[in-house]
Amino acid sequence: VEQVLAAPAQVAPSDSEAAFEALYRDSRDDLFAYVAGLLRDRHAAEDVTALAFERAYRRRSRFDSDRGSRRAWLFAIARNAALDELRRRRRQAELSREPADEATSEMPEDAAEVGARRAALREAMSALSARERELIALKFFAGLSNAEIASVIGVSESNAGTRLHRVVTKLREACDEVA
Amino acid sequence: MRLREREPEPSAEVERELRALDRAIAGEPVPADLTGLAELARELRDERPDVDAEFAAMLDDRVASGFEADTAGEEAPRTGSERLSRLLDRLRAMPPRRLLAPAGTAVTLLVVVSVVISQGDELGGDEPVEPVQTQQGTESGGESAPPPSALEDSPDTDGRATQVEPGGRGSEAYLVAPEVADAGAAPTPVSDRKLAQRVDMTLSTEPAELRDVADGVLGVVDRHGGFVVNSSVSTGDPGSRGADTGRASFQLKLPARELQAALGELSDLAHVSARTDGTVDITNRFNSARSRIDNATEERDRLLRKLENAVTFNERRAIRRQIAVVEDELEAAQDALADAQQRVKLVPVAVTVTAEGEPDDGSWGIGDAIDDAGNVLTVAAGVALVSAAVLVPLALVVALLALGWRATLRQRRERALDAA
Repeated sequence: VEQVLAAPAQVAPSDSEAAFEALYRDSRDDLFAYVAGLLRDRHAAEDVTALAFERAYRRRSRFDSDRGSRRAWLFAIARNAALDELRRRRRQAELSREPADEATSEMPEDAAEVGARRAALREAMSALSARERELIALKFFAGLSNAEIASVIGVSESNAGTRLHRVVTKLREACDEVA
Repeated sequence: MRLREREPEPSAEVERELRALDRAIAGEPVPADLTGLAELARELRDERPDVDAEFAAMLDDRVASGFEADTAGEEAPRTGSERLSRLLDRLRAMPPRRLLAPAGTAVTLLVVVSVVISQGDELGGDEPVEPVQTQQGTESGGESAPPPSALEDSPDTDGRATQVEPGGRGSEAYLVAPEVADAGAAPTPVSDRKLAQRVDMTLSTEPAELRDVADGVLGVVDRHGGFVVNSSVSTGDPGSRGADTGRASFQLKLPARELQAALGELSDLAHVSARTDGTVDITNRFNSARSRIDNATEERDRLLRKLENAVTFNERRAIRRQIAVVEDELEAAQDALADAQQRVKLVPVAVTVTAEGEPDDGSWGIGDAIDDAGNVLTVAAGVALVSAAVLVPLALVVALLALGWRATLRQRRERALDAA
């Protein structure tokens, strides 16, 4: 996804600024949901979301519509920032010998109102790998299409669909077992 | 480009379920057999983390201000060390690829400047240094060594003569230290010394006037009673500028008494670009010839007297043979004296006429501009070539490093995702 950032300017600065504002309005909540689902840390997700928007703002004139949608471009920037955050946390964990902050406790806790199926779903989600969790976050938290997901993670659209179906099947089986 | 994992194409059933997921997320109905899948999609959607209102407001403000608050709120560094520290922090925070362009520009400028400095001699525009002419020109007035041709008059120099060439007035040159071989002989007074002169002269003219100048040389020779030993005239293309477009050479013999007048007229024919005058003392050669003549004459007279007194036939025959030998010697000595006298009376003069296009009068025209432009372009092309020879490998190395850095960064990010 890095190559998208070096693309030549396609629109005038004023147009790119207006396009960025529209992109921000449409994607702010979705982007945060994706990053929070990937990092499982609300505070880190807020920092990464703000950083991603700032980077996108500064690189807004370099967006190339021929290489994907503006939304996929933004999520690619956020993904790099989130992965850099994961790397930083990993280095810090290695230095301090402390486990990474999962922060799952900071996710909405309304266990009393959900049934056994919802609890099973959460348990199954927590058992997912980061790659699988990322797919769920991109599809169901951020609402990206399979083509946009493919662009963000750098695979083909059919590959992204296959991977997504595999993760959903995994979750459905976990839930069916509880039911 | 990201590495793509190979996955089989999704089956029809998988594609059907993926479409059902999209419809469920959009709130649209799904086939009855996939309601469970739709329910899962809705449950996953419900798990979506919500944005904190305070964070959302803060981010809205930052976006509205164009993310300028981060730098606007910072205090200006007060001291030089603070400024340096701030600058280093910014450089560290800056992605390496953003430093690539300015660094590349700086390196390019450095290489180009280095090449230009190293090629300074060619860019300086100085006139090329003409090789120092060893011959002495009549207009220069300086001292110089005589050309080899002036010293090749070996029969006259007798290996002991020393030449002196006062600048530009060779015909008035004088012998300084003549060596006389005869030990004990009284030194010859200066006024009685026999001097053999030699003149080499180079004239330059325009190609169109080469023939006239050559004819003028012959006219001077005729007027002053000299003669031409040999001559050659060759003409080139008069249209070729700056090249040697014609040349004439003459080997002349001019009477010594007419030499100055003849040289003056030759000098008037064209521009004298070089002239060398040489003088060699051949007094010893004169004296030797005369001495041989005197001796042979005296010996012949003695033999003649002896012949008158001879009685027998054999005695008279032997004396006649001796007289014949002496007369041969006398004849050879007389020839040597005549040659020496001729050498003194007739001065060898070498005249070369060159035609080298229009002489440079110092003016600057369109032709000079074209030449200068060609020189500038040649030097610029040379600088560009040398710079490219340095920069292209450097750029390739930098590009490879950049690609490697990007690939490494991508792999580290993916590994971080796998390890999370």
